[in-house]
Amino acid sequence: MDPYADTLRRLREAFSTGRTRPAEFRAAQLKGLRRFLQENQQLLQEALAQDLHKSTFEAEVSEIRISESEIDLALRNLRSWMKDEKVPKNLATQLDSAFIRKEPFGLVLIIAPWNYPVNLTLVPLVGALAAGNCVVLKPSEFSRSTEKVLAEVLPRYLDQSCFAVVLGGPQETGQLLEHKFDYIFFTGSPRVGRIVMAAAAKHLTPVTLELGGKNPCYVDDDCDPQTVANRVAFFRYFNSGQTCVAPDYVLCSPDTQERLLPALQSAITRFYGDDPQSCPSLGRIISDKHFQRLRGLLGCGRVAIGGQSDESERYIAPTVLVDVQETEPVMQEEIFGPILPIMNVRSLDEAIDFINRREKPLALYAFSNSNQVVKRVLAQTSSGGFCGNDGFMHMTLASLPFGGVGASGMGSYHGKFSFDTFSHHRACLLRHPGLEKIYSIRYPPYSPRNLRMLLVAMEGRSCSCTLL
Amino acid sequence: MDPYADTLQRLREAFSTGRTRPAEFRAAQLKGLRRFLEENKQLLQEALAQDLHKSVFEAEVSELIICQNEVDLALQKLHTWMKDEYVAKNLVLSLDSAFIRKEPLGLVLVIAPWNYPVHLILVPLVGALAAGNCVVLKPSELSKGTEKVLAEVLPRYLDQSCFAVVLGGPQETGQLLEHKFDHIFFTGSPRVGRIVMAAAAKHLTPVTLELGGKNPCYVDDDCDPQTVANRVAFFRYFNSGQTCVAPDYVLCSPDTQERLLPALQSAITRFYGDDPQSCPSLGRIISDKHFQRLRGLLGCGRVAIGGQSDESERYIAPTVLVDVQETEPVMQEEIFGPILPIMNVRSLDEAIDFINRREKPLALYAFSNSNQVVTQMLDRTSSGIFGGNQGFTHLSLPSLPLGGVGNSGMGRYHGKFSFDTFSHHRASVLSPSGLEKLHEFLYPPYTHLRQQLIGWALGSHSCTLL
Repeated sequence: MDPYADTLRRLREAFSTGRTRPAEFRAAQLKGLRRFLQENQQLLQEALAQDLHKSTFEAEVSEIRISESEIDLALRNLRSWMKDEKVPKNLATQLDSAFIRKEPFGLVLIIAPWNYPVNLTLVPLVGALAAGNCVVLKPSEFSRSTEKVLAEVLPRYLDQSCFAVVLGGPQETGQLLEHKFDYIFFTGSPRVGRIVMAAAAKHLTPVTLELGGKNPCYVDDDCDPQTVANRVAFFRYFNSGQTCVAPDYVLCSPDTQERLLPALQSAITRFYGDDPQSCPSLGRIISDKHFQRLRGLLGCGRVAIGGQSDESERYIAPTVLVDVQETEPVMQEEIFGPILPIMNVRSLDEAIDFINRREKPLALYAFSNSNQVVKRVLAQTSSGGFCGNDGFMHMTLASLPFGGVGASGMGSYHGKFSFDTFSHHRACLLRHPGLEKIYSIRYPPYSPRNLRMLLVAMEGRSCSCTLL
Repeated sequence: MDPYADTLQRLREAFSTGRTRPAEFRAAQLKGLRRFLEENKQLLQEALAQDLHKSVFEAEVSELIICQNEVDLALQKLHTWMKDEYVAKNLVLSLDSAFIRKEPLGLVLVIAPWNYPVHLILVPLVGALAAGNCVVLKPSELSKGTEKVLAEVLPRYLDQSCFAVVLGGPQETGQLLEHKFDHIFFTGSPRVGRIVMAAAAKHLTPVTLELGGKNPCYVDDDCDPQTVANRVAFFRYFNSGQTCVAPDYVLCSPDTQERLLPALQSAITRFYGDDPQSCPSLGRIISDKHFQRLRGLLGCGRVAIGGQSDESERYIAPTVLVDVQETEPVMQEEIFGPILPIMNVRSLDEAIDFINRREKPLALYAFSNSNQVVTQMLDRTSSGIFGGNQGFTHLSLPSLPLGGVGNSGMGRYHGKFSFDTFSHHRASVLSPSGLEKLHEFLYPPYTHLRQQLIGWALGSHSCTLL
């Protein structure tokens, strides 16, 4: 029995009536979404605390505020994003109307993960709604409390003929993916990303895949260790390390490692106190399975800082590992926890080679007082996003496209990029129904003279402006 | 034995040395491509004549000049397109440098079809080279004359450490697709598009799929039949109908059909003479298989104009069919030949419903004297591209993105869109290494006030250029 067929059919029929097309409808949906966040702030904070022991600060800053900000941006810019975009013309098309029309795809599916279950579900939703689509949301079953709020409370704020939340685990998601969608937006692991893309291929459904990887963090000899330690620690242990763009491992010389270790200890103590387990700012691991996985990683290399864990709370202490081998599990899989291994390299070149031998990560970080060094790392590597001398602040800027490359993903979103992701850009050329004499030069029988005239008319240089 | 492994490894190694990154290298490649087109014009025209009986006019206008224009545009714009793109910042990042860095993806594969075998391989190639990638080209084995020129002559004009042409049929292409590429650009049928995307999924390779479909051509009662007939006939029979964006079938009322038929006959005679088979302007069908397929379609409905065929030349006359049923093959598969079926509808609404019941096409055309009608058709349907009162002139305008939607494809190219297709847009932020005090307000432990301030600062926008 197919639990989704009816829902999907209903949504498709709603889409075909055209009701999601007008700006007023889309704005109403976005306003509904904003009211959902405003009126359920406490409920969401409680759910996030329950799922991930997320502090109100982290919930505010990395989940609720970011989502609200995206909604506001979309509401402010909706009409300008929706507008037909006129394009430069050449002589042959001078009398035509040439523009790009933005259209919704139709029925889109958003599959969200558990680590930022509000942000990573709602920010894509903003784009999908602004672009005029009907939307199916599939929140993660691991972040149960947030899943509940999204399934039971959110729909009340949106037009339910054009929106649905569906629940389930891997098996149900597989069933869902057998259906045809007009776009699939997936955030999760590369392994599942392949499965999603393969399913999409059957229906020729375009996809955005926000995946992951091991995000390298190069720390140069020329740096202030405490500043670097503060920044790396903050971004590593935020949400207890369960962040797709967190620094995954450090690359530095043995000397720098010596200077970094006490600085990292100092930062950790400053942020989380002498007993991090009792600090309200520190999160917990999402599930027993991930907890066990991470506890296993604590056996790699040597624990330099932290290393404690408490199964009853799914707590893992902010940890730094040293003397790790490239072949050990902690350097093979994406860590996604509060564990930071340090790998030694003898030079910048060696660091760059190390990075380039591996899959392209979602994020890449380089810390150095030298602009040159930072720019070299940027120029000689590739990654979804890059930050010099800081962590994943780039994520907070809606004017930057957020997305991966290679194994870390394809497509991007945030701000206008979200709107564009969920829109088809339709090239339109409207010609006058008359003036047939002018257009006759292209008709057979072909003559060299007509050909010459046509070639001139088609020339790029005849573009009235070079805005392109 | 894997015939491609060595070539691909060589190209990957070349890419990792960074040699395709500098603008000078890319410009040199593009200039090489331009010289290839200039110095081999006749050779290419002969190949196209051999493969498709393409006239010099069509070869120029729909293949060579389009490629030239794209190369010239890329050369002109290369530095602009390559530049870091600075973006609007919020308060928290106001002291940082925030920009989008354009990067090549690495090793890209371009698989091209046979109908515009120069255009549809070289225009993607322009984008791939301009974006700094190493490129593998797989031209179609069906357009043999052109395939030969691309395989034997083109490489001499490019840096062969970063570029290769590989040959083969479906089996070899399947083998090629088992390898990992950093982008695959495919032009062809939806059926093969699925296969390409499924292969790409194994390696998480992004794809651009330029596919096809049946492109509807709505003709309103309020129109001048001769003008419409001229335009529809021109775009339908160009390249003997073997064009992914050609009008595939007409939707109109029985009355309009009555007015259109003599006008279509008139246009056909004007364009191709009384004996189109002897007219040098008219192309031929690419292969026996496609010829047989098209000849089969001539049995659908009733032949109103044309209908002749000649197997020895793979010639099919410019044909118009009427009284066709939706269930007949000519209304089920993409025609890709010089056959134009006319389906009757009683109103604009019925035409729109008919169109929307079917897969989204690559192109959609509406002919009417009324702006309202054209606008309605545009507003209530979807397609890769849309033409009002005209055919596929879009292809000559690089400022318009060419791409499909739904079954007709994903992604787009031409002009800057090509460059962007083959680039990774890397969000980059450069923060000052000091000024730690400013960062401190982000760190735990938190006060309520600090929390509020941070939330506000993150949501602020110093300008709304977006």
